[in-house]
Amino acid sequence: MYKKSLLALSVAVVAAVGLSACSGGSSNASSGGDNKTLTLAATTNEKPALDAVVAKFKEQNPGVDVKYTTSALDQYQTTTRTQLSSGTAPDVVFVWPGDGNPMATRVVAKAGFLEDLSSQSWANSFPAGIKPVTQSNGKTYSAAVTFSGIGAVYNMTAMKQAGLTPPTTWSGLLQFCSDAKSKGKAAFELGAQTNWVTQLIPYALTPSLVYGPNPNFAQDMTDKKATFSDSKWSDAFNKYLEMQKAGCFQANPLGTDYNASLSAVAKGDALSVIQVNSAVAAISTQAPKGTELNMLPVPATENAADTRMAGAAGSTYGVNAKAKNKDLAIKFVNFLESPDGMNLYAQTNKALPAVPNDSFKVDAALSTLQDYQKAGKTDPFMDQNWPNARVQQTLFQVVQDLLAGKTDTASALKQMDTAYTSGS
Amino acid sequence: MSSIKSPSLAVADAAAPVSPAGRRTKKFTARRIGAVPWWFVVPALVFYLFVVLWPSLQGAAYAFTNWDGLSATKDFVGLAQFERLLKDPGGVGAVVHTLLIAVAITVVQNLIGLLLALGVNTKIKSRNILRVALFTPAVITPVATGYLWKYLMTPDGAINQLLGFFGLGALQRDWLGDADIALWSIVATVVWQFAGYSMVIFLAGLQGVPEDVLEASRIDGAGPFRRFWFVVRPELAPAITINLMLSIIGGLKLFDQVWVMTSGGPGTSTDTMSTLIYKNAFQFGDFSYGIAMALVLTAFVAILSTAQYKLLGKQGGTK
Repeated sequence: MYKKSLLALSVAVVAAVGLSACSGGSSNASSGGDNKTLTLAATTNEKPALDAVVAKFKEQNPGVDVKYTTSALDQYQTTTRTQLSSGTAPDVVFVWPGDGNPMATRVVAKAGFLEDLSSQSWANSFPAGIKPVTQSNGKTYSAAVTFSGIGAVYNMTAMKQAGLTPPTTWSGLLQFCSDAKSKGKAAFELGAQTNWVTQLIPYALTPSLVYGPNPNFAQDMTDKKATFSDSKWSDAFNKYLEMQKAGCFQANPLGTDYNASLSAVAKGDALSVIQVNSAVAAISTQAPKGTELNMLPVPATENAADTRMAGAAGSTYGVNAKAKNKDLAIKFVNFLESPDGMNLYAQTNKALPAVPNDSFKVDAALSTLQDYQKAGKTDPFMDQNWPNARVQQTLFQVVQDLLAGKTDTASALKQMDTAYTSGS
Repeated sequence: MSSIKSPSLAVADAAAPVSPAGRRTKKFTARRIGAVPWWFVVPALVFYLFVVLWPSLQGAAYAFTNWDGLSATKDFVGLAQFERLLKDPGGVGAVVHTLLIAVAITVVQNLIGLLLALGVNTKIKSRNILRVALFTPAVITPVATGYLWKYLMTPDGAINQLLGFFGLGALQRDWLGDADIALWSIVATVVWQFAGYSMVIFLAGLQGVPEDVLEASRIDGAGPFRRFWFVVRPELAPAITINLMLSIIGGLKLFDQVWVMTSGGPGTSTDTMSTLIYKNAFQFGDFSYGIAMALVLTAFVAILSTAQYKLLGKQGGTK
């Protein structure tokens, strides 16, 4: 009798634990779908812009609350993928344009987790360089809010003190490195310890070397008519090594991380850094008041007119196909795509709006990027057209190996080709 | 004299003749303590089964599919993911790095831990403060120590500045940026953090060494080394077993410090099995391959730690 009672008690406790877990889940589900509370998740870089646009959205929609979380890139990708597959993801999620990333538009859309936004009024308004990376199989699944670029962010105040001017040709760039070195400065501070930073120099050089001369190169790779090894990507890697040999970088690029590289430019210890436009805002906050910054293209040839920039859809959002407040989520994304929302977002994050418009007041440091965007002299970030995330990760790894002298250009490109064809 | 009886005395007491009243008391005690019904374990077992075992087995099953971690569909692919592992050059490098880290940490951490334990097991006045100070790093989260040492090891960081200050500029290095030494820099960080942990276990063992035996060996003319080797070491055998096992398991599955300090770089020079599992599962979108790697790592850890336990057991280390 005593044994039976205890056994019954044990079963009851276990059952209670199990049932309480079930009831917790259902209570969460019901509390989320009130169409007055929007949930959203993004990476940490987006927080300043989100603070601004969320405040504006709430002002325009009294009674609506927006709960958003931001996390570092790695954690964001891991957490959000898990949430999507378990049905607990926020209503609006930050996604990357195109492909080549675990949280890229096409990857998430193909898995059925993004709402089809093709019927929204803004879906066809994107410029030709942006529209394809918001789509999967001809349908629009993400909303590009900003246009981002990669270039050399110069500390013009330090440049003037050193008596130097930004180079416009490849030989001029090597001379600039030599001149900067003689003044005791690093021409280009490189934070190659942070793995994603390693890709930025190839991304800055290949528009002029590969994607400008052959605009179909990305499609040729998809069609298996071209490879990294048999392309001018080899020139890009060789020029990277030439920059290292010419003393363009500081002493220990592989021991320097992203934050340290920006600090060096802010302090004027280095004259510039090859970075994404968001670095302009980050350097501004660290630099002495009045420091003038300018983001310019990185020359890769001897003809300045041939120089192009990497420029592509930047901050991009999708609506969770299983969103608890889908109507509110679409309303928020529509606000982001309005000129007011887009301009506010771009202004706060020191970027350009995904759809150029006359009401946007461009930051002086980004005016050249805007000129290149308007002139169509930009090419999308390369990974946005790669078929899997392994290619980009391999690029990070081989560039570090190249800088460490552990591999050569041919072997590095072969590894990238292998990653490209491996699929996932 | 302590009033708490040892287990052997308690058994002796239980075997002694008792009065009828005493028999009732003993019977009651035996019912309450000696013969605990087996099904008392049921709630804990059920909890363990559903919270730990079942999800783990469910997760392990993904290693035999091609699931990408996101899609609704997945196909059974048998052992294909394990076959990929055998052909993966990155995997071989990661296994080598993992073994190097595990062996280096096991040897260095335990040697330093033992020396520290011997040091603070003396009569010096500051021994209690030293014990606390030396153990403190072990209570900090590995991620925090990773960030701390990453900062100290930057090219312009405190370590190089200190070396320069003492005129040892020739020893300055790019501790985490040099592919030839980055792995050892991580090992140094782990040893710094957990040598105090090993010390505490050794210290517990040392305090169980009978003072009279030590005294007798001293009278017999045994020097410090002979006393350690023939008297202290056999008594320390269980502590050595525990320490070696914990450090080898910790070394084999090391992730936090590696990820924070180098993310496996420069290149792949510090990639371990754990970082490769993370990269495949969460960065490459190759979830099932990552799980297959995790299963191999689990088997790896289980085999090595069991072999080590058995080996040390033969030498009296598991008594």
